[in-house]
Amino acid sequence: MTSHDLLAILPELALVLGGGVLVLAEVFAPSLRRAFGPLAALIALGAMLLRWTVLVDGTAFAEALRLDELGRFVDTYVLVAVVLAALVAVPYLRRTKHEFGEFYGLLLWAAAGAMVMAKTDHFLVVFVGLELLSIGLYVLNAFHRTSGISLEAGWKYLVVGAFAAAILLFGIALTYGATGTFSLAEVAARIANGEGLSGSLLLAGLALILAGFAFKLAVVPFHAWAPDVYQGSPTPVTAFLSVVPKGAVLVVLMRVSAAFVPAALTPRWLPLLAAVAVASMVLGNLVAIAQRDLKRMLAYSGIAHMGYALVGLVAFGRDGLAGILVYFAAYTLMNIAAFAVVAAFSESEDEPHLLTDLAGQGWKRPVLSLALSIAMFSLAGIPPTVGFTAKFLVFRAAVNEGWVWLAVVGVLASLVSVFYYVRVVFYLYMKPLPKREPAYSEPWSIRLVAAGCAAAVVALGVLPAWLLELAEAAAATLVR
Amino acid sequence: MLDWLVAHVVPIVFYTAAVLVVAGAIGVIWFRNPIHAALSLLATFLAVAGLFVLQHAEFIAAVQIVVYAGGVMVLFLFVMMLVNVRTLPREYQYVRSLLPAAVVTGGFLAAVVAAGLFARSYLAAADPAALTAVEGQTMGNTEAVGWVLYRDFLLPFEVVSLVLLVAMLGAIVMGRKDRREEDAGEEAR
Repeated sequence: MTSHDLLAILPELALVLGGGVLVLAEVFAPSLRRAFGPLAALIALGAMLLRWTVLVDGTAFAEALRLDELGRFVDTYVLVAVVLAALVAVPYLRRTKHEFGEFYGLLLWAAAGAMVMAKTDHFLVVFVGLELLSIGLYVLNAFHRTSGISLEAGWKYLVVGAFAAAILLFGIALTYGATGTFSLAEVAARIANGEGLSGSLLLAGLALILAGFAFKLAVVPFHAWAPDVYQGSPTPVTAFLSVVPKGAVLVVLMRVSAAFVPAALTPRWLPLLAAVAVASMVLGNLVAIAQRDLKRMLAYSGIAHMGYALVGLVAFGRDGLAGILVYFAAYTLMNIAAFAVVAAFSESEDEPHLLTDLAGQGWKRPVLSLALSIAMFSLAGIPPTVGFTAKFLVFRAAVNEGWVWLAVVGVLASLVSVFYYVRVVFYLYMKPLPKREPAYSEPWSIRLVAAGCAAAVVALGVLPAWLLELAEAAAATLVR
Repeated sequence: MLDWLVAHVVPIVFYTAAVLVVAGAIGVIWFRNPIHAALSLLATFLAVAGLFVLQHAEFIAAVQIVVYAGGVMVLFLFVMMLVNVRTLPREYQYVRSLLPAAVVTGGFLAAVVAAGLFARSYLAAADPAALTAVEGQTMGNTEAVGWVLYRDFLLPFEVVSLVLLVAMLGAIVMGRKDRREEDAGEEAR
């Protein structure tokens, strides 16, 4: 290990050590408990600062890590999600009397796993990074131990996650058997040398890898866990869970596609991805209509959104990948805005977070309601929000690459989605207050997160050039 | 006689260890006393270590003894002696007849072994020298493992150590006494 290697993982080290300090502080300085959440957010901000100031390029750790624009983009997005989730968690954990340092420690460590995944092109590191992320999330899902549905969420995620990990590992083993290497860079180099990689072993390996990742992405037909886990998990964890693992997995899929797709696999790989994308968009949006619980509705909406993101992966090319990256950013902001508002519901956590509980809140709680409405418009893809920009980029890339029918299906599916997203806004502003009003708590940090995300959604929707430039630079590391 | 033994030491050790592995595994499910079952498992662990030595994987053999025969087995025995289970109760069997299940799993295992043996005749045998060579230099197996582990696979190795820390902490979080339960206990006192 050289100083170059250490500099390369400085942000991850900061997260890991910071998480350790918070866990120890729980034991040795419990009086600081109130400061843990803001401290965790500060640590994540510090890691982000390190990522953008200590610029190390090339590879590190015997080519296990690849430091490029793409890694930096995804790291930023993971860390933003950590900051927002930590801020939402402060009042939530206090209210549910689960204010422990371990929560933030696990959050930071899981994020470190996602960041390692985002930067590697070594299958073994992908696997251990994913395990670090997943094991942290198993515990975070069940963190609300007095709640039955939280334990159920943790248990379901554990079983499904272990299953997915086994499938992924099997796929990695078969791919290793077919290529003789764990390194994606070496695969790409061999294909560039004209060495044709094909054969049923490699195809089976890649299909299993895709299946393992599809579990984590919650795309059809591997989506069944999502609604229960989203509903049962503590809401700040749901916010984190709904964006960070998906982003990390998508970036690995992007790297895998970039390395393998030219190897005469295109005719099989792309229809497979397209089929998964179509199934996710259609099923996610149709079933979301029937949901009465806001968290379950957002789970199905997440399934559909991963379908849109996969459209970008099918289109591939620089535009498609840049579209996916913009999608990450957009999805993070609008989803966390929505979950922050859901976290303000202060009924018992075992109760469903019903849509009807929102009735009439629009004029009573202007900040939260406006933020939720903007998030819903953005999720539906209505301009001038960043959700529209993201969908536009992804579908444009698909049309340019000749996947017109896929883009048409995507647009039709998102037309359907407008119904259930706008229904939320309808309940907020156009329904009278019910006689028995549900309890709300509206602490500053939740208001800050919701308002900040909503403002960013609109700002990036009006002026997307800055985000798009970053995303294109990141995509250029994979595709010329 | 001695010459014959020397010439055939590898097959003799292999079949002895193989019989011990299977016999130990059968013993684990055969003995009603959990301590006996655990000690029977110990025989399997040790015999597997012997098989690793035969494959020139001395490092894995040592790890097998230190970690499994040492650490894991002591942990098992500790737990069993702490909870003080004498014999396992006879439980209701959901499967009335084990014969079909035994035939199916046994047949499947036989098919897998046969496929492996069939494939073995087509594939070149693994080169034992590869277990001790790093970049053209020959060294001990443990040294070679160390080289690969701490140079080529340093990052996954470090991340795995973090994974273990997270798993341990997660178990503690899940198993911890609730603060409210503790408060209630103190009030009652």
